[in-house]
Amino acid sequence: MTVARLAIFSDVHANLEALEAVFRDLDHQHVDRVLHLGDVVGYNASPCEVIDLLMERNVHGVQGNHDVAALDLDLAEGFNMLAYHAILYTRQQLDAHHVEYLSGLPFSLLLEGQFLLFHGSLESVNTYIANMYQAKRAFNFMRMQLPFVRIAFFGHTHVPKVWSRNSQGKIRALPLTKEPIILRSDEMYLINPGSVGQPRQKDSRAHYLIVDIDAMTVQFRSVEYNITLAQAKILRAKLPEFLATRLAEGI
Amino acid sequence: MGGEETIFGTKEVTLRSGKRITIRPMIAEDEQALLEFFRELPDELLVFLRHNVRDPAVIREWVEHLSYDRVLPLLALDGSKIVADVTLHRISHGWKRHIGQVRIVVSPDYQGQGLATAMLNEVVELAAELGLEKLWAEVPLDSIAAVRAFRNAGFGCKAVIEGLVKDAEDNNMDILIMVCDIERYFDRKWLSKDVNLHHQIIRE
Repeated sequence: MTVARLAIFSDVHANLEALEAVFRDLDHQHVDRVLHLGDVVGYNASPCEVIDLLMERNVHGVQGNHDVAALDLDLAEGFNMLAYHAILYTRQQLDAHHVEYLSGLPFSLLLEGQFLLFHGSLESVNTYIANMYQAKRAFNFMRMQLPFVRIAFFGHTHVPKVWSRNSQGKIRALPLTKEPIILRSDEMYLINPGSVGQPRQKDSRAHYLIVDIDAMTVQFRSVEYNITLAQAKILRAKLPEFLATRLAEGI
Repeated sequence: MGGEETIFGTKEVTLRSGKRITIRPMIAEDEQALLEFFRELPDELLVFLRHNVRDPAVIREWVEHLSYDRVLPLLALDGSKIVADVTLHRISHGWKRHIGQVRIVVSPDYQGQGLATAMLNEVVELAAELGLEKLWAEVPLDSIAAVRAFRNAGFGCKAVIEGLVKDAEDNNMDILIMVCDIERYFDRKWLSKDVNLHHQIIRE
């Protein structure tokens, strides 16, 4: 099936209320396919409900560091105490079909032969593309190992970002606008939609993006959701209180 | 789930000796254990601390006025015994609002086992979650173990100020200023082992 409009989101982190708000918005966006960039679980209180909703909506994606840690606790050894605590909770909640969904997530996805999706970096789910040096490393990796990929989507930092590399090798972060951003055919891009379930750019809304493949544009979208309900669930689940307070602050 | 529910959760780490240690934020109920921890510390370690921590009134003041927004104290516990204390100090306003200052003290019986590095790693990770951008530490220049622990946790040596502070015998000492750039800190996690990405790509 040819895909003309694609929705991509990342880092849902078991926040059902935020994910439902994104789907409500998506219902008016006429997209052909929805994909995620990993970290479906962790931090928040509704890992099972989130996976069930993704399965119901036929959303496929890639694995994140919290997803693999939920399957193998040894991989959470390097997590901070907030994340570690939430992974212990997550492991208690998951049923067999949730585990099967997480187990089935690949490290990366290549869509339409040209769009690459991964969680952290091209080398690991744990590493970041958070600054220009890391973006340069990722662009170099793409040029050497994946010359057919010009546009890649990643998550993990919880902050929306577009890194571009022009034909002279100059790397820059593009200004993010409400209007669609045009992706030039002579440049490479690393694009992060931000986070659905735990945004960290001091904007508490759930964030995702829409790719228009015909027009070659990406549009960042942000939607309000019921933060109070998500917070109440975190406290009811006896997860660390900071995980609730940070949702309202967008950190 | 195990462990107490605290605002920042709890975590267990394994020391080089194989011993399991719990790391969690200080809570009011830690008053007596904290006093015992500080009373057992040798004088030469106490000189690095800003307060007379053997005075019960000081500890009472701490636990009665816990404010994680201002100071986040993390404790390492071997069972119910406190064996290390690391604090993250934050300034909410002004030009240092993005900087956290880190102080650490580890019981001599638990030094040399990777505990300081584990605690400092935890602080760096939590600082990232709290939105801080840099961490600052002042370390005695001749304390090789402390410098190594901070370096292991991603801190770099930035400046030496000669003869600035005094030790227990009133001798002037040099201090080393160490800074962790939290964003760059994550660079250290780049894996060196080869990952054959082509085998991992799922084409659709």
